[in-house]
Amino acid sequence: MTTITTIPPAPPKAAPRSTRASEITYIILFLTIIFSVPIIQTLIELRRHERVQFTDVFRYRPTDTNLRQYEKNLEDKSVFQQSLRPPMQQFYFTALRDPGSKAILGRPGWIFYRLDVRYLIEPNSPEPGDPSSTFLTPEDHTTLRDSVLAAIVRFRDQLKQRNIALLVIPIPGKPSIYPDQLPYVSSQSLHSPTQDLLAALNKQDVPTIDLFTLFHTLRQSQSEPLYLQTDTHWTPHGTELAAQAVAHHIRTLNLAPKPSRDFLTTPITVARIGDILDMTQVPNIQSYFPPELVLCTQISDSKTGPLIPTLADRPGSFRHPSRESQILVLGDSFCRIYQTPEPKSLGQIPTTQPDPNSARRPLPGSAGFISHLAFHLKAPLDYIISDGGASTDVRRKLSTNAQLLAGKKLVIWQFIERDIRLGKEGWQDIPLPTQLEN
Amino acid sequence: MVFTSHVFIFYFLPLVLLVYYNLPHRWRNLFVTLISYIFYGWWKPWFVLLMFFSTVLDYFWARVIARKGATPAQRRSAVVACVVINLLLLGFFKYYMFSAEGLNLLLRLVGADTFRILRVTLPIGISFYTFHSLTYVIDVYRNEAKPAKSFSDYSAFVALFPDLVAGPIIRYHTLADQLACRQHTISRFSSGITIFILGFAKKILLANSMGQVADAVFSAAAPNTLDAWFGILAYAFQIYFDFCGYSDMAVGLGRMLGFEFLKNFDAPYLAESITDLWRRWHISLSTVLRDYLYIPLGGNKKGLTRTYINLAIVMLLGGLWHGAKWNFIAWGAYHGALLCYERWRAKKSLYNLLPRPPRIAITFLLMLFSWVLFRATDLTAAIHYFSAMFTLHFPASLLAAELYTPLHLVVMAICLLLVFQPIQAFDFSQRPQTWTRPTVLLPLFAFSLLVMFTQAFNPFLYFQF
Repeated sequence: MTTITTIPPAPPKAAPRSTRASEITYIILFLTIIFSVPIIQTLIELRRHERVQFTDVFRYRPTDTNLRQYEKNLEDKSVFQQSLRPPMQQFYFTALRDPGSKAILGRPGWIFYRLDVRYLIEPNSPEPGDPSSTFLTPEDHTTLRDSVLAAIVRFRDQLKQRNIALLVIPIPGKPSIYPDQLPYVSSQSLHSPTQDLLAALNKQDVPTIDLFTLFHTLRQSQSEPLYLQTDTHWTPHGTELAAQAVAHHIRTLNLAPKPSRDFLTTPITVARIGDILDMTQVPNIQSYFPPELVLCTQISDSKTGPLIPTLADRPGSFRHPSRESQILVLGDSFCRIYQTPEPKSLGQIPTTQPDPNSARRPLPGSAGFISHLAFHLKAPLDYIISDGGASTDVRRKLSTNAQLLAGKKLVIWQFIERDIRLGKEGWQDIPLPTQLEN
Repeated sequence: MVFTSHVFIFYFLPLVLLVYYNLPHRWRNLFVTLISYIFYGWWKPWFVLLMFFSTVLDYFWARVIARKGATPAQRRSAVVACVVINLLLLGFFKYYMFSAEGLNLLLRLVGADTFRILRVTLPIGISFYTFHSLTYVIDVYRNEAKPAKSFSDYSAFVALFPDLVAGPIIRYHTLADQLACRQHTISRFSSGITIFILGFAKKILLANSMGQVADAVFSAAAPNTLDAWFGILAYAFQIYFDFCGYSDMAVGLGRMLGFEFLKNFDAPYLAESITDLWRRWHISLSTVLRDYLYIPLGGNKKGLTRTYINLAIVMLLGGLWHGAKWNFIAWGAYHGALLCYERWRAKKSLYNLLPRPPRIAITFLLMLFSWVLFRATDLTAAIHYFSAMFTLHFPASLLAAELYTPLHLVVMAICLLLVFQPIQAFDFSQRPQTWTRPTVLLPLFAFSLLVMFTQAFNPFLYFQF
């Protein structure tokens, strides 16, 4: 083995006077840095008549949850962190083309959501066990795809008991359709793990729609993009083609409602700032990625106007008021985009004339997947949308408001493919109530 | 609490320094104990009770051993009891689930019913403070150290927050005199700041960035050959700058409080053989393993065969110390085998006739292979990774977009330059101070802080051990 001395090294020798001044200056400056942040923060909070954040540690029980929250609050409310982080991110982006932890820079003009890429790279690994459970269980070894499959099949069976059919539509993420817009990748084709899930669902007789094959084919034959370059979502063109394909599939399943409405179409050009740009939190990143001008087709009912919800059940969820619809759509932001007001508006309608109502106007509204599906089916639709919550949250909303299923013949369940592995709530088992209210 | 966090740098550390230097000397060890318990309990407050229990117990075992009139049999019984209790505690928290899963596997193989396995949370730093405690009792038993003069001195030694959760492993006799009386000089404080800043920068600027690369590759389903090599190189840099950075910060914080710790790293990637590597990597662990395991097993005094066996046992247990996984055991076995081979060749490597640069390169390569075992989630994943490294398969992969970014390439180049140069932060910090130091290091500290503001929570790798 090794021969290492265990005697501590001698302390640094006493410095000559010439270096003493530099040592003292060094210490003072170091202490100034670490002391000035909390002192200035406290002074600012006192001046603003706010609660002094760091004293919160004495206000709550010192549990690990409270301590984590305390630490997070200190960081989030730190004036230094808030004011210095953006220029630092700007520096990293300008000097090293680093868009931060949430994004991956693509080929010129393109930027991708990191989780969309990670979903395609990472394996179908065993589901992590619940760390809060007392015991390790054999279920810990179930793969994520297995649990998604089980959740979908259970939901299909629950609906079947009510004579309602289920149609599952996993939406391809942008890198599944445009892998070649990532650096170093030249191939336009890519096998997404979601296609294996689709095959498994078909084996279980769960009706699905394969938008992967459709979009890959369309990419080869058309030049108009299907996805926005700086956004996680599809373009209006992609939305409309998907709605058309779904409507066609519903007709082949003989589940299409009787045509009952006449819809009108209005073209509207929208300038969109991608949601990925917003996620990077890099100031002025828009100067590198100008807004994308996209042509939307707004759908309006000839009698009642655009299909814009007038009833919001709760923040983050939107429901069309049409109770007479035979179809209920459960979906995420892929249903919401162009359709309903966004939680944070990332677009504007280019116009030369100021519109006094523009702040309240949806962008553009009634031009999303839901409206286009209604347009192709010539019938109204009912829907529940939850941004990022299509895996579990939409079913939870449905279970707490199960009368929404009254009169329904078909539930369309749309979700973005990355949620299969990276959905924020996982794929929980949400039983529907046994009795429906009429 | 993590050294590279907002709460530590801007609240905990200033408060500690402010109070510490305004206390009379006699209260300082007690204060160090108190703040160390707060530091430790910040993660999970209840676990401070476990550390306190372990500290009280070992303090009294040492008193029993050092008691006047204690017979050799009583002393031996006390040290054995102490070792057994400490190892049982460590074993339960660290190895219970691993052993129970192994037992269930065996039961399944013979068709018997399995049992439910309790989910045990590993208390952070338990391996480190258990070793601290054990070395104290054993040193007292061997008469290499006198028992602590007071409980506050002893508890300050065990809980000392700079080295508490990820080392370096401090042996009691190296700190005993400093606990009783230590010098607080401007030069020591200043050198503490220097090594603290260098460690902080290593972690924030280098290790975290390399960690992103390593995590991306090791979590990928099918990395190609280039990605796999890039990933393991990134991990080699991540683990070095992460752990060495932590040790540097621990040394720096120790110096700010008047303590002097041992050097834990000495340019390990400049090692010319595996034997040389273990003189340079995690020196405090290899020293403890040598003095408390290898030598008691007989060391090299009982013939060549026993020497090889002892080396293998030490490295296997060293691997197991890192975690309850088969890949850690394989990592220990790999190093044990290489050390035995070099011992057989009179501490010379197979390639010792080559010039120095290739010797360093080959040793680094051997170390890279061992890092695959160390980083992989299990043995199957390690084998999968090795096959990615050696099958010469270069399909275009999405992973490339995450890996070969300008930021990662620049950081990788800086890491390469730094690991293959001989100047170490520990030695540099002890050089006489010049005006260059504040001029260069304070801006480096400020820049690292700015980068810290942009980073998510990034705990140190060795917290898990």
